Amino acid sequence: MAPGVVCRWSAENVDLGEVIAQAERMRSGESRTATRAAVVNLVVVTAEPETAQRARSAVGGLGAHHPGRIIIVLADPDGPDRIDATIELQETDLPERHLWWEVIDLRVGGGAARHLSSVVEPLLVHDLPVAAWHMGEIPSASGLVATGAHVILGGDRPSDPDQSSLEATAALTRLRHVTDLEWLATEPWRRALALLFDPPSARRILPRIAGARVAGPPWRACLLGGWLTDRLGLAPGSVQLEAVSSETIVELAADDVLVRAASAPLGRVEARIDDERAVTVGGAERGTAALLAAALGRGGTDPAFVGALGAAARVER
Amino acid sequence: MTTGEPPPNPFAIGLEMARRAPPVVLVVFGASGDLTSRKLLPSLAAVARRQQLTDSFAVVGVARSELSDEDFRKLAADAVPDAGPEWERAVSGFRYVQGEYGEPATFDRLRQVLEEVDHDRGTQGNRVYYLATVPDQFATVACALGEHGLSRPRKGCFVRLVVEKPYGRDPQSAAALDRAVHTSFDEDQVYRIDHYLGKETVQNVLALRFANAIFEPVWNRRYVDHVQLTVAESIGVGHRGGFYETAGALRDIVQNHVMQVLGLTLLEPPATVDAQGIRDEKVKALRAVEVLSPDEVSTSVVRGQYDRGWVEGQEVAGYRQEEGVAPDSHTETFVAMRLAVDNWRWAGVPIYVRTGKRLPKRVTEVAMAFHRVPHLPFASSLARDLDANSIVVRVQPDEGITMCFGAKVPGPEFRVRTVSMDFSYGASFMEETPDAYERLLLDAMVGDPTLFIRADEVEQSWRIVAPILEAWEEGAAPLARYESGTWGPREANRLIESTGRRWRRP
Repeated sequence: MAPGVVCRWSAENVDLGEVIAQAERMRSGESRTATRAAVVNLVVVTAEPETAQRARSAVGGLGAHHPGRIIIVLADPDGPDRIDATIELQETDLPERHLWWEVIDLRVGGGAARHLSSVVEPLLVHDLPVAAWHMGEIPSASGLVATGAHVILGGDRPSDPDQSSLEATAALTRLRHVTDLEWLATEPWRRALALLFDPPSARRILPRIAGARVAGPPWRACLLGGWLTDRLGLAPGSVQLEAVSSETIVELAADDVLVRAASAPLGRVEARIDDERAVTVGGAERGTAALLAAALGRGGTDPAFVGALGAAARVER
Repeated sequence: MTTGEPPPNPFAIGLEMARRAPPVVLVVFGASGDLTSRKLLPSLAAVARRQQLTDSFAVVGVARSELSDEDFRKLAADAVPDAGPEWERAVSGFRYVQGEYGEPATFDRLRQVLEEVDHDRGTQGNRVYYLATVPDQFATVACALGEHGLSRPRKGCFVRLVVEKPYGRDPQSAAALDRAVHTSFDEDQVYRIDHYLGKETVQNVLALRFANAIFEPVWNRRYVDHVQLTVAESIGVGHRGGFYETAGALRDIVQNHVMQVLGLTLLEPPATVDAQGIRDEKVKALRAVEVLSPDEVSTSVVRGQYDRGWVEGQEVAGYRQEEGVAPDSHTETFVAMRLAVDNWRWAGVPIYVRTGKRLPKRVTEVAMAFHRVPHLPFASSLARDLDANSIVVRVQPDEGITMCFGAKVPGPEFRVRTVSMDFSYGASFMEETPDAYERLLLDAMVGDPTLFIRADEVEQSWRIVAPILEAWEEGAAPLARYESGTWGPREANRLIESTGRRWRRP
């Protein structure tokens, strides 16, 4: 068994009732000697085997930080009617923290894959909140699982942002509590700018900012551009986006001042006004697992995200 | 630059912006001492790392040791190695004033340095003075600050004084210290620190009681049989023998930590969880604790001292063999007591308190032991393992809450036994819990006195504790001995078992 795996059960073409019973047996087994993590159910839904594999990597060890149960569903609506299941009981490797949680891996084919909520709901640990992570495509309303679940988006998006994906995301925010991992990834740049303009004297510059340039990975740049447009009330054409795969840079230009937020050593973001006032914040190099852990701690849809989405749809790309 | 009010910060919306200290100088008296290196500087470094200090922050250390500014900066850097760029930046502005606390020249020099720091770091005349000296110097420093015009804030600025425990060694010395402090500072400038109040789980007593509809209705005499408060340490006095000889467990733990936790456990729901709301209710709760007469001290208080024994697999010396301790010492290292609270909520509910050194483990907890059900409809032979219900708030080390209740044992018989349901902070929150000093230092700089002790709370604590000390001086409650690694002297067991109850095993 892999490190951290306390015990493992696997079956093919299995009845869901058997999966439920097995999960409960593992959760409350007689040999249990560790504290059971009991914070949230995390459901990962994907149609791509590669995405499911990436989800497994991302959630590895996450149980020690949040969930009570992780359910990874690989849905194949066009495949045969069957459910294959693997359940692993995992233990944190943190010193003096003996926490256990379950990872349930399901391959769901046929009719059940078109009614995933009916598969997921019975497997949820009762009374714990539910987060549903859609790593790739943005789900439609009918593709959402688990009533009332907190929806987490991103991590393995197949395409760059466009009008329809931004609008689909905005539509989701009207239905559910939504957290976007790409949005969370922009937080160090937003926080650095917020700290930079925290002193009232620095904020006097803001009304004079007429334009901005954002360079970075497409979703990140798009959301930061939308955020700046929304927060500063800029004209849509005054924010220039540049899709690059390397570091993320934000520049704000006033008549005689340049504000810049960019990556700094040790995974930090440094923001400065000309060469004078500077602040640095950490968290610029968080991977998917760290962003997911942060997403699980979010209490509601970030209003700044909603504003950024709306404005991003208007920003020229 | 345009004039007028700047716009609000548009970038802060949606971000959880940490509380930040305003521009301020923290002046630490006793800057070369153990508390500064061990607690204050590491806590400040953690606050800096979390971006809760602005660039307009500085520490001015004051002490008798011969140090230069550069020496003090090195001391601060060495106290917290690898603390990050924020701490390095902060430390670069630290200053040091060497001098005797009784010498006016020390405070003249301090005033001059503070003006320089205001100019260099933009600290705007805001001051927090922290008394980390030996207690004998508290009054001297407080008075000298007033005499040198350093205790009163300029218009639009603040000046605060943080006072470490012990706050006096009896009611008279506490009152004398208050008088000295109040010659220079108003009460609302004074922040008396008890680091227990900075602990997350102590604050969680308030969350448990007032954020949940299921607990507060049973938090009273109708449902609670008795309360047990345990503050146990497995360590001995170590190198603090000299100090401990002048203090003892009653002054060192009961007068401050125990009374604070007790106040939070017993208080009535405050209208608001703020400085005035919480502290007013704590004072009211402590005021309701009955003072013991000398006779009652004999029957309701047990004092003990540890002998040699075994703790956590190690053989340990007895108290009288510890460094700095008199071979015939009568200082108590253990106290158990039964208190009564004379108010509507708690009348008739005994409060059992137990604290000591060299007990089997380090644990602090508050347990509410509930009444048994009026009638048990099971055969008594099948409910032998059933205890009364209890709710235990574990303050340290394994922070959390445990609820004990009866459940049927699976099987053909209707056998009932006690089971426990555990909530562990570690299993539910992986957030880094700030150290108590981090929280309290930031509170003092921000100006939130909720978790600091007001003068009337100190007065109430001494009102309860002083008669016990006086009775002991008159010979009440002879010193009992206990073997290290046990839960205290046999007399402590008799204290509670005489009423048909027993101590919990934490």
